[in-house]
Amino acid sequence: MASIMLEGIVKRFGKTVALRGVNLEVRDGEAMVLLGPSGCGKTTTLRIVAGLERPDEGRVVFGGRDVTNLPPKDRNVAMVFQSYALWPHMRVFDNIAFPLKIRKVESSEVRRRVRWAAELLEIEHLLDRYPHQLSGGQQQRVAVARAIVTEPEVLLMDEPLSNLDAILRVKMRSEIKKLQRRLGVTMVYVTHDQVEAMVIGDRVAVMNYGEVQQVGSPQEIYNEPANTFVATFIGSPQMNIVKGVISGGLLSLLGTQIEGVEGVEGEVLVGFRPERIVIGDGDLKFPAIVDFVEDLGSDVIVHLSVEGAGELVIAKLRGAHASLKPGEKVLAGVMRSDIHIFDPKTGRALKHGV
Amino acid sequence: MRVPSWAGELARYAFLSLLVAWVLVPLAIATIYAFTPLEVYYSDAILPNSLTAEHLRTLWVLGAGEAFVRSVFVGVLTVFLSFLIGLPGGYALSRYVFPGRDAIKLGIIATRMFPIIVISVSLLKTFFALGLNDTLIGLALAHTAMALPFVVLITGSIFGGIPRDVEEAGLVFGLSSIGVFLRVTLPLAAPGLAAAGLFTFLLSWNEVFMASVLTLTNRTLPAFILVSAFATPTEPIRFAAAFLMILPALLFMLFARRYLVTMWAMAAR
Repeated sequence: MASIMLEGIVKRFGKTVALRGVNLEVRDGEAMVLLGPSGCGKTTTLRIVAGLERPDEGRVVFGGRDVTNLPPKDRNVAMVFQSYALWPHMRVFDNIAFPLKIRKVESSEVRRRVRWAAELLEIEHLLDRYPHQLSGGQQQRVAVARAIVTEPEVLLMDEPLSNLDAILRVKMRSEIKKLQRRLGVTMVYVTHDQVEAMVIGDRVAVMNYGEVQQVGSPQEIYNEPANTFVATFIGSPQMNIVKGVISGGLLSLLGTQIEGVEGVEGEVLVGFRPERIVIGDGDLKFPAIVDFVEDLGSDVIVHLSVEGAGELVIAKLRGAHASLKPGEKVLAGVMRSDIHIFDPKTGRALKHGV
Repeated sequence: MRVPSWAGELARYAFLSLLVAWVLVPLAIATIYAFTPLEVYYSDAILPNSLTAEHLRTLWVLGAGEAFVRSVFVGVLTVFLSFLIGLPGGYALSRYVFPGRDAIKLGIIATRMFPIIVISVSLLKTFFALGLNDTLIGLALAHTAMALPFVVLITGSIFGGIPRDVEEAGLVFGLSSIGVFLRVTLPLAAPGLAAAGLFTFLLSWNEVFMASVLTLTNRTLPAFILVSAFATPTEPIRFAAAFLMILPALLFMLFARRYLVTMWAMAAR
């Protein structure tokens, strides 16, 4: 097992800059999820950890060992590819055994280890098949078995669940989490799915524009987003962000006001999550008109237009509010602790809770 | 008025039959008359009632056997040399992006613009200087030059059809770049490469211009047939020569048909 340190990683592809100085520490035995929209640099970061790409600047350190210029084979890593990348000319057994055979492990030990991995992933009955004879979910299990069979220091996963159907994805993501806990292996997991990131990550690194925007536990990222990008990327529907002004501790927004907001002055962006909006209650109340109602059964997504302020606010309410009708007037409210203040120029978070 | 469905089918099969006949009838004529006794051939009979290997024997006496062996030697050497040089080129073109890559690809195709007969004449002068004239190695080198563009482009396409991440998996799980090529890429490319190899062999086997210009006493089969068999007025001997020429190609098609389809399919991906 090993910790991973990325120090000032810069990577360019021709004129495009994929990574602009990524710093990240993955602790020994930790599950770190790289989360971000496509093109944010998360996969490039993973490939640099694997050694499949060389950074133009910066260092990659595994547990004190500088591996920046080592080829993948000398890094003791294993990887689950998005496409699984099973070797089509080998049976499942040989696919799992191949990494061991390369390392010249004795054949009885190879058999024992392959059995162990196959049992763990519940694929013992598939060992004699070829990859093309397996379903997507089965191929995925084989790819994971192949990745853990060598007991690597670092386990890398590149969107491993993105090609599975929704039901299987939910099942596999908890299985992968349990497996990682059980093996205690240091894992870097790339995904664009925030729910997957929250379930699997001990910590999550949210990336955008080739930079790490925030690193923290799923709770921290949800409750204390570092900037408006993280705030709106995490959570569904995304966080409401509206314009506001603070003067002398008085925050004005949405045609209403709230006192006692200390430490910040001037124009700000104010954020609050749709699921934290309550009807007819809260420290900050604002009158609104129902525009549109999306009934999801358990929840209702209500689009509210705020009179006078010209702002649109999305609320996620309990299913009991499904009776709301377009045109209806409501008094929406938010608790002080659920209000986030951001700098309007940099987008940086200034206060969580007012 | 509706055309009955069987009419369409009939038209389809009639067309296909014509197409097949266009290929098969000359083959059949060459094969049958290659074994037809002279007295039958020059009589009014259309089909022989007895067969003879006499014409093949005549060709053999004239030196077809040695020419056959020479052709095989030149063909095998051509495949070996063109793959030795062309395979890494094809791999590089399919896997690496480097400045001038497209220009190189175009350049490779451009070499095919020059007629082989023109190259042969200037090559002969060079070969005299190098002492390669009238040698099989010289001819194999010339055939290699001729086959190389095909080998580079077709192997490039075959390698291009193998997913990159299958190779990357090899790297991650402990192989060096060369190890990945030998233990992952090559086994996956093997069927396509085998077909490309056989195809290259046939390129050399069928080549007659360079063979005629560059060799005098050491002639390969097509060059030998051009000067000896086709010079004889005895037509069945010519048919026998044609049969000898077609035979390897036919056998190849018979055995490698599946791989040929694989090769073009891999190349087209």
